Amino acid sequence: MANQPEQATKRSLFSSLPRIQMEKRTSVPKTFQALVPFASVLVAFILGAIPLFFYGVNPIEAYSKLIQGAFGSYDGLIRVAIKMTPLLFTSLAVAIPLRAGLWNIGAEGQLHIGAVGATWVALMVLNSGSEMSSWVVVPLMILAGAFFAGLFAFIPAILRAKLNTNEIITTLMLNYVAFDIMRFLVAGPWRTSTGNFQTENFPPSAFFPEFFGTQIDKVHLGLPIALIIVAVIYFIYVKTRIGYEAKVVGANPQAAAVGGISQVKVIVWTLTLGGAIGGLAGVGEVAAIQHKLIDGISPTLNPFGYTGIAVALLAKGHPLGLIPATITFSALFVGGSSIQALPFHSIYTGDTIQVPVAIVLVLEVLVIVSIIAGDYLSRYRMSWRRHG
Amino acid sequence: MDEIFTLSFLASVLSGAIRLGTPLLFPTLGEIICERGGVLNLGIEGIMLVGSLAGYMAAFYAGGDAWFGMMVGALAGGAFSLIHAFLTISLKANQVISGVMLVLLGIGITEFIGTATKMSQQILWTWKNNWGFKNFFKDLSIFFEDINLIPLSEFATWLQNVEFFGKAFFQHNVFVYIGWLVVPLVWVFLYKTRMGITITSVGESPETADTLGIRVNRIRYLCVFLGGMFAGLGGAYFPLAWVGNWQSMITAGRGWIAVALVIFAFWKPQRALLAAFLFGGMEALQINLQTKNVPIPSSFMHMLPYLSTIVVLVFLSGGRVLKRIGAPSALGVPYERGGG
Repeated sequence: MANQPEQATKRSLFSSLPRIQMEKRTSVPKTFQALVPFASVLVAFILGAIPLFFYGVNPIEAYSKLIQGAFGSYDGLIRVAIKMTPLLFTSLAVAIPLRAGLWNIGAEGQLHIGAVGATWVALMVLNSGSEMSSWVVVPLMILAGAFFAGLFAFIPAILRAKLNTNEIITTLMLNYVAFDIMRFLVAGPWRTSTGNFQTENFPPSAFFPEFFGTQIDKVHLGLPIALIIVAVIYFIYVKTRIGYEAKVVGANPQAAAVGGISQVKVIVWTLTLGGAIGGLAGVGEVAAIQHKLIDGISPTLNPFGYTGIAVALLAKGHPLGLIPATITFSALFVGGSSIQALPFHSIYTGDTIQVPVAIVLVLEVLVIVSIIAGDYLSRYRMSWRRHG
Repeated sequence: MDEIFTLSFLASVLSGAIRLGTPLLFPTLGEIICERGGVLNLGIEGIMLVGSLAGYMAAFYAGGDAWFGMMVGALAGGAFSLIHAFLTISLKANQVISGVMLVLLGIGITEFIGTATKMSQQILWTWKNNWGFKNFFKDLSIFFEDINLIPLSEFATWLQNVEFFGKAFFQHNVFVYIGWLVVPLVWVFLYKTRMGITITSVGESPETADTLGIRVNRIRYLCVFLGGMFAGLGGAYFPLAWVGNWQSMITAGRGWIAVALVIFAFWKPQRALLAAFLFGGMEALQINLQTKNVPIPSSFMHMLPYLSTIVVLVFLSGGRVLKRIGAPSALGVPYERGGG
């Protein structure tokens, strides 16, 4: 063991399978790495076929209907674009601090605080009975949502920057705090007179403008805002000093310290900005989808905040990569809910069965697991040892 | 208001603290073992969900055998956590990502199997009132009566009816007492056995452990598996010793609290008992105050565990303090020979 020659050779992957040997690559193959996200989606679909098969659903039939549900019709495409919006915001909330090597697990909480901030403005307008134009109200809602969510993310940011408090645990814990604040408001001071756990409907001036779509689903202001932010973040990364500083802190904190880059500054701005953008996800949901604050603006089975982590990983934290990554996850989401209602015939008994929507969550995780495996394979070379 | 300053109110809060603290205690102990070996497992919530569904289904198919259910729940939790072990130890993946993904996978799998079986087999999900763990001392007194040990039977009956203490401590199901027993066992395992000390050394300095001939990754696999078993046990507690049937998201975020409790417990099993019952007590107090119509919004009580964890973490921040109270040095760092 300890007497083995000091090489970069690793012991076998499994001790029981001594013939597979993993060796660290000296250089990472670029094309291989670029292919990993695509291959991961494919592998996820192949692995996801196993539970479907056991359940009695023909996986090919299920997948083709899933893809059809998302991309096969105008309605489906519109729904994909709508679900993309919150995911873009939450994945940006994860990806921006990730650039500096920080983990924001708190996008879910920031989403709720953003929704609370926007609701606060909308309810003030409602209660004052003023006839303010939506040109004033909507920007105010966006600012309030981003401000409160940013402030909320500033707590873990400053704790990490000044006291080195682990941001993973603090952002995680704050999710529940945010959720409780939201629940307190909809159950107490902001509760509608009709008695449900929700606020009054917003005044029309607090609705996001809608552009195109179907009778029920319309693409709203959130999507262009999200796309603009993606472009701005990309610009900051490639063209500005602060973007470069964040990258250095993320890649090599020691070098950053030697180079005179203020870690405190980088930690605070990346986490706070990420949080503020995460808050916009909540603003969009209350101002364009619900038109009120309600317990459950983020789906319980597929919370936007946690899914944002997966999206950011699929995009490898690259801002432009977030767009195809959110389309992928949003399509899974939309296609998954559309096949839930469709009848399938069991391949064992021929009975009519339904596919639980939870398969989407399983597929999403399998995508990420495949990414992890792909990253490993791009760092290590697999070879067969001659003798055991 | 006067109603809450009575012994009977205190007794029901204490009893609730123990009942609600036990499903936190098991996963916390598991996470302590896991983190002491240097692996951060954020996936506890997902593992608990898998344990709860596996335990419930096993108990159901075994005709209501709750003990069998507990065993299967623990094994399922251990097996499920091996995914985390494989990704983080063998593939050297980031432990945060892998943990969060494990939670999502746990929710996905249990929802899938849960809804799938529910749709195909309606009968599985009917409420089974006559199985699962009930009042341990009541069962004990019936058992002693059956084998003609009347004095012991009377003692057990007397114990559960003692003023205040009976209600607070002796009207629980058997798993509460198993939890009390497991704490010293884990303490002995971690501090007094060769394996326990090996685990600590792997979490502190994997390089040194490696030069001493300890197989670092193998030990870490074991830690994750053990941790997963405890989490699975904590998950199985929900359907088998508390709720009585299985429902989706049955653990309701308690797996995340367990992760926080490890910090609260300073990575020490004996403190885990205190921490779990303290957090269980906060929840019990909230429920009990609500029934007495005390005008404190339940949301504020509900966020207390999370806020207090952040406060503790802030006080512990800074390497030296964390080191002194027992945070493993190599926590969260994959081990690779020759640095990496």
